[in-house]
Amino acid sequence: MTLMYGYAMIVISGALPLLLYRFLRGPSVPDRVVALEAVVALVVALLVLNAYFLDSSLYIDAALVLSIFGFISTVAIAKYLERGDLFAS
Amino acid sequence: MILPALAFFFLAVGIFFTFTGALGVFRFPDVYNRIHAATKTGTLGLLSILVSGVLLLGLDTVTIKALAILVFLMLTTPVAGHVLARAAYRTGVVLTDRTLRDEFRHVLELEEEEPDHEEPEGG
Repeated sequence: MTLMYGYAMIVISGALPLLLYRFLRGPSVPDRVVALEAVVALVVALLVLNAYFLDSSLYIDAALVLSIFGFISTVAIAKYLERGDLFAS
Repeated sequence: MILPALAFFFLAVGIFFTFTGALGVFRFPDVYNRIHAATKTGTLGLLSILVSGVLLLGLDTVTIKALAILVFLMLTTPVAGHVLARAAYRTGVVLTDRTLRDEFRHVLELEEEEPDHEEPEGG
């Protein structure tokens, strides 16, 4: 029954080139940030599906850490775009 | 019997939202539309995938952490989308030609007229 998570990983991997196109093409900086944010979401989905598929607790720790880093980096880049300085009050 | 069927259903919904979210980031005409699609990928798609595993595998060390990821993502993904959309608008990324109404421009004009009432910004 967990084999369906293996097929799900194949389908979700097929969506990654679409986001790579948007990252390379732009046209603006927030477009690229959105593409990277969606890539992080998809990689978290792939890691969770792999953890379910193998019933292994290792991959889901990586998914937790990656989701935290994705949120922090998105907020940091957005603040840098808006203010021009990360550490201004 | 009912729980594997529900798990399969949630997995199908999750794959649908994840794939169509990526397709929206690829196809939509505008940064703001693309943020909308990417946020749907992060919330609805990942929620359905995580819930599917919880239903099929029961509560063990994998799915407890999956629930932690779920709570964290439900809290943070809309915030990230909002912050990014605001940064995009304030740095002057243009909206698409097919935009019908732009309400935030009016708010920004009010702020420029009365700089005393600028909203307090945290973070």
